[in-house]
Amino acid sequence: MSMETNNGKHDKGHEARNHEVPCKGSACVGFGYVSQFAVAFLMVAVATCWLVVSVFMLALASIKLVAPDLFGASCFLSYGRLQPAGLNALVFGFCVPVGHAVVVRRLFVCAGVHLPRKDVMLAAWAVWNVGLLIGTIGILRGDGTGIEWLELPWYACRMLIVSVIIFTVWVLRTVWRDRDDQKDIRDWCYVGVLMFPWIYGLALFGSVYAPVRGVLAEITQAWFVQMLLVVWGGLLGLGVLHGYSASARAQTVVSDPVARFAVFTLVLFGGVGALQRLQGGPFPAWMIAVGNASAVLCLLPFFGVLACFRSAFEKQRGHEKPVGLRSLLVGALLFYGLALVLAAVSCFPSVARVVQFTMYRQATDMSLLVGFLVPSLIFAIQAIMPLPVGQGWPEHGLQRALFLMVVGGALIVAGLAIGGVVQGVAWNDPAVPVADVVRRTWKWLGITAAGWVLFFCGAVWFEINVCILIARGFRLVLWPEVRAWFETDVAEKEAGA
Amino acid sequence: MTGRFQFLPCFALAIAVSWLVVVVWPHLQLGGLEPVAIEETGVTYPPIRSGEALVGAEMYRSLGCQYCHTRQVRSGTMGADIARGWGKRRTVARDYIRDRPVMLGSIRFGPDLANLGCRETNATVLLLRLYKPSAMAPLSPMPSYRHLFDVRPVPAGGSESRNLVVLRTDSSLDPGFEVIPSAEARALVAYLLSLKADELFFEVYPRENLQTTNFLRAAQPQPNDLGEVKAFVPSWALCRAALKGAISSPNGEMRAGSVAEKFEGKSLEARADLQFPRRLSNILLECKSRTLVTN
Repeated sequence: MSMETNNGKHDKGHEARNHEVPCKGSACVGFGYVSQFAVAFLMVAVATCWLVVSVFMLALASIKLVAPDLFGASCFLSYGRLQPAGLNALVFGFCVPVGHAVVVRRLFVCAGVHLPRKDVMLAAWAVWNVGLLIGTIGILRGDGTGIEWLELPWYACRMLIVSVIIFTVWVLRTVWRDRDDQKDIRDWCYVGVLMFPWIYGLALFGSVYAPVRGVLAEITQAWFVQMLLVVWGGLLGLGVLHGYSASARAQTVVSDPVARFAVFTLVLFGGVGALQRLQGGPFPAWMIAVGNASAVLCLLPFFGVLACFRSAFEKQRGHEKPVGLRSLLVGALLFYGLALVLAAVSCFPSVARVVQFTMYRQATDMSLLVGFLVPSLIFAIQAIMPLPVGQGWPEHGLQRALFLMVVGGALIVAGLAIGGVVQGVAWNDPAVPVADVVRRTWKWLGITAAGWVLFFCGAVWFEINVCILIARGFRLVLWPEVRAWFETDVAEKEAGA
Repeated sequence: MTGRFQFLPCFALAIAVSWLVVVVWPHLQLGGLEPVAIEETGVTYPPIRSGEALVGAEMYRSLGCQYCHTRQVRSGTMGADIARGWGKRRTVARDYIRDRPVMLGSIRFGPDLANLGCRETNATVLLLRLYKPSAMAPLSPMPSYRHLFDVRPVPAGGSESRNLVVLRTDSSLDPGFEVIPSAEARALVAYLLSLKADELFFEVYPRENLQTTNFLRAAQPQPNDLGEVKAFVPSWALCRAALKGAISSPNGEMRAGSVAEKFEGKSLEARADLQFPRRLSNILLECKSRTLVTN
């Protein structure tokens, strides 16, 4: 059955993509379907372990701010090492692999393109994970670069950048063969996700490999964080959420001028908005002015995104859908909007005066990371993981885990945002001694720590669900498929020889 | 090019634009900054740090101090940093040209450290803060860095070690023990003591000194203070032009510098005046402080 698009064309492929089944090529038959999934599955399975480990470190770091001597004076467990180690593990261990797994699944499996030499791709991601493990241990040992969000030591970064370049080149090379003329907004987003090596490579080059002088390194770092959270994470998260809304109503998501405008203005203004992060620092005034203007203009693409989702939700009426997951979708979108609004509000001089150099900036970042991106990727995982193992999720367990994570995320963001304002007001009053500033911030740090603990509980619960899913499906489905996959690869090589 | 790939060039272009605006353009403006010679004090700013302080910078990075402390002072209009005594002036890009990596920090769970070396000159106090922060600030969220210290028995004979700096600050410490800072702790403190961003040069005219020329007139009645100023009378017009430019620009300090650069190709006499705005800044500050004292 074909489906009519907004352009009045019939597109058989779209229907298949929205039902997430293969539609053409060799992937449609036999072991290929599951083995295509297996690549994404393995990447995601390892990433969920990183999620638990990273959130544990971040929760511990948050607790250490409230109780600094909780686990003695171990240098490995100090806030200054746990926080960057956890953050890097969360971004590079969970978000990036799952993001790329989503792209693999979408571009290959749903589009029905055969994925050649999966072993190369898996080897690249094995190198990535080993590099990340070495890097995380390096940060805890004190080898971090000292550049926020790019703390992984250079010896680990090499492995990561080589791995992600191999992976991305492989994906692009394969996708190039796919001439499917589709205009689904998800595909734009996912192609944008493939820009990660460029963003990461430029940032590493400018701040770690050949560091630019003085504050210029700080500018490069701000650019990377902004590109990672607002642009790369934004494209990925919005693509996933849009995909979910499309699947729920069993219709295609066809691009329209609003969606097109939203995507490209997000990339443009989102990137330049990095300069807003430098507010109050030793930088020329034009940088802050351009950054502030871009941060405010970033609201435009968000309004465009909201318009797209509104239309999607309206069309969903009458369709059966899980209420919990839909609430999560709305919540994730709200967090994304909240982050952009927080950034835009902090452009006003009177607000900036209060919130500069406070937890408020972390609130913006965490709203994007744990409020928006991680839940969005959980959406993706809940779609990716059950299919190759042929088993459904333990439904209630999954929803409880997600609920805990959303509540935890809300507490984290609220604690940081409100605590940041309280902290800023106190710092700006010279009559308030430093000890009083700390005392006033104390309870908000406690709320943030409670949020991280809840988030950690949710992550553990989610990981338990993942383990149950794997245990259920491994013996029945996955193991025979993996064996068939390896055997066929060997047979192909022999035939080629 | 069809399908998904029609968007690749657009994405690439958008990312390239942001890279050019955010990273390359600032590099063109700030990448060529060099240390500046301060004629009045005869020093080059920012100074080269000692070897021990450089090791301490590595410790600062390794321990992640920048996650709780910033090293950037805002101007008086943007916050109470100067009122809190964290610096005499706002920090500028030139303050950090010798730092690799530059660790500005983005959150203040504790005080700013840009001028810690000016506020605190006693190494023992800083060592105490590292060893047991709660001893000096009971609710401090700062963790103890005891791993940077050796707790060892007092040597036979009861005499204390020659390197002893921190003595029995910990009430739980047995009487027969003493606390010795390790080389890393000493290096970290040396680095902290080297954190000074208080030198005045042409980029960092305190804005309040540039608000009005009336201040200059107020300083006139003090012949002793203005003796040096009179030596620059021939270039007074140049100075006023530079100051006006600074006042009218949102980024005044940069404009003042660029005004001075415009005279690079001028005659020898004019070239002699190139240092004028910088020297005038220091003289004006001196005049103002004396005027305030007089008043």
